Amino acid sequence: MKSNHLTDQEIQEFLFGKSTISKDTNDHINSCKECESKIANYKTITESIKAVSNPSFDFDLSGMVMEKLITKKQRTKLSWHLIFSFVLGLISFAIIIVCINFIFAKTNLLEYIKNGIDSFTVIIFSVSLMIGIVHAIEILYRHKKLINIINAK
Amino acid sequence: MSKPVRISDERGVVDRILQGDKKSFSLIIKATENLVAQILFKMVRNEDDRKDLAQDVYLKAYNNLSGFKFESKLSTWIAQIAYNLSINYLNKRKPESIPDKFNDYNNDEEIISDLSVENKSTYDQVEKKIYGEELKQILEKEIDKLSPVYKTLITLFHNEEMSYEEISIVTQLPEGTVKNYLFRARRILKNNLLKKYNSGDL
Repeated sequence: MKSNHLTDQEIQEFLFGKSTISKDTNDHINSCKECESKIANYKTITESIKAVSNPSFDFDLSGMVMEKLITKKQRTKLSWHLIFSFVLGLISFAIIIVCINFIFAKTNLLEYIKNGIDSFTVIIFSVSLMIGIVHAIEILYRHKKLINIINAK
Repeated sequence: MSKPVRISDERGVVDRILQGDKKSFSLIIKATENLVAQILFKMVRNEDDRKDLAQDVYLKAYNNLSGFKFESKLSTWIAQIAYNLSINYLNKRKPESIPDKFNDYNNDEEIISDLSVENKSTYDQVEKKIYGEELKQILEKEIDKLSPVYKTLITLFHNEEMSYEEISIVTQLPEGTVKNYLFRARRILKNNLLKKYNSGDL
């Protein structure tokens, strides 16, 4: 049988470690009041640690995080929507303008391309660009309004 | 506080989120927020900072979810993020708030020398005199006096019942160091309680 008292380290290893203790140590624990008492104290302390109430957040963490994630989603969706609308708008206007101009030119397609873009085309392009910008500003304004609504909730 | 949720199919939930079902992420938050709270309450004293960090933990987890390889439990991975963010916070805020293991050790040794030889009757008396609610309150105060890392280790091991291996993943400390720190933390707690008893505070 082990004659010396167990050290703190041995006691903790016995209580919380995975390793098994030797028969000598086990016999000593069973016959030594001092070591038994030390073990009991560690047990009391650890049981009390478990009994200490667990802290918790006093706010809706899930709600706050999800709100941030949804806002982020809206932003991404809107910025993509904004670029897509703007480009699509410009392309549509450009096609319409070229078609109109081509009809009014009363010429064949090859000749029309050869003559290049005339001043009328430039004017119509500028107007369509202006319309595109106004459209983009409106989308931005709507997006900002939506974000404000989300943040206010 | 919302009731903790248990996720039986972590892989399924993560897959759903990665496919765009952001709402499923709230399941992960509800399942792990108590563990995150345990870490943040032990590491960060300031309430507002704790609130910000708690949100950062999950935003970071969401952004890095595709990188989670299921090599550990999802909760362990999130606990690791919480621990890392807390350590970064402590480093930025006040370098000395990170525990100095040698200071703790000296303190520990000092207590031991104060007590000289632990007499056996003291143990029995302490156990009888301070237990139940009283001991819980005293322990709560004593735990609070420990360094943030020691407090966190004690909580993860005894309250969250994490294994040494899991704690090692969370803290990125070698398993031997985790065991050693836990040993010291428990011994400090025990010795402080005995010291308190001997000085007649109890």
